[in-house]
Amino acid sequence: MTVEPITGPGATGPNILIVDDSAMMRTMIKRVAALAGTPIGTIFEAANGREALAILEQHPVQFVFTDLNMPVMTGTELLREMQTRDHWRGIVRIVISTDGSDSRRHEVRALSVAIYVEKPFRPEEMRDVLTSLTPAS
Amino acid sequence: MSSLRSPQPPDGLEALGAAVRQVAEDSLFACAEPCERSRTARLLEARPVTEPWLTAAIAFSGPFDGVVRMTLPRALAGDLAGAFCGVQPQSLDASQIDDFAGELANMVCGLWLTQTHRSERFELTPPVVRASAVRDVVAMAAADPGACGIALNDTPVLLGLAAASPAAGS
Repeated sequence: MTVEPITGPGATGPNILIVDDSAMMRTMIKRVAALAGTPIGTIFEAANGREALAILEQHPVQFVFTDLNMPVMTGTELLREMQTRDHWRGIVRIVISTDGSDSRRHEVRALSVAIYVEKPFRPEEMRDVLTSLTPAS
Repeated sequence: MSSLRSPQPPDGLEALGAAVRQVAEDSLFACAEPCERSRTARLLEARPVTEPWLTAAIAFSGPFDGVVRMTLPRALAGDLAGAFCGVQPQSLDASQIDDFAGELANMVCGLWLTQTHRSERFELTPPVVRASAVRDVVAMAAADPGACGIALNDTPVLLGLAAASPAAGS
């Protein structure tokens, strides 16, 4: 579990939590976020849903980007847990998954997921997601 | 849940190869092309016998069960990982390259299942990555009907698709 401010002290953009069991995928998403040209506060990383919950308990987060298929606690389990906390209701949930099946999409839509991104994605697709969620710098 | 349906080669392998090509083009800035068995053999013969290779395996279950395997030189995995993350391949350690190889197999397997069975639901296991020897790769390429070659940046990659036996009574 890591915490990495990418825009330095005093950053005013939203805080982002990236949840994926692949450290390389988290690195790729961080890189795209850094290049997106939108203001971003702190980027937090978690390797599974349980680590993500621990971060959410301790830090204000505006956007959660989560994989679904992860060991320990899956993304779906994380999203279900988030549904039970009223104070997390305003967090924007984005799923990034290799599973693009209709039933999986339907399942997570019911868990307040705003955007569903299928892997593999082009870097510009992720940039477009970020810019759609954040005001231009 | 298992059933009597399974993704038998070569149709399953062709679709899997198409998934590799899309992952390569979309996320890796790489070029992948189908590679017939004789060309795969020639490309493999040209590799150093001591070259380290990796095999990343993903098991899936759902309307049918099976395992997808990707076998590739560690050096190629490092180059692709560098392109994926926008870093110099030399800056990556072994665990990062293993992580990437697993994620690559995960993306290929997930994309293949989504493209061919979007209306159905599968569960994927976390990837398992292990070292492979060139001689084993050559033997698999020559004899395994559930394996086929792909040239990825002109480097041989072996894809494998094995359907699991249906559970008794299912």
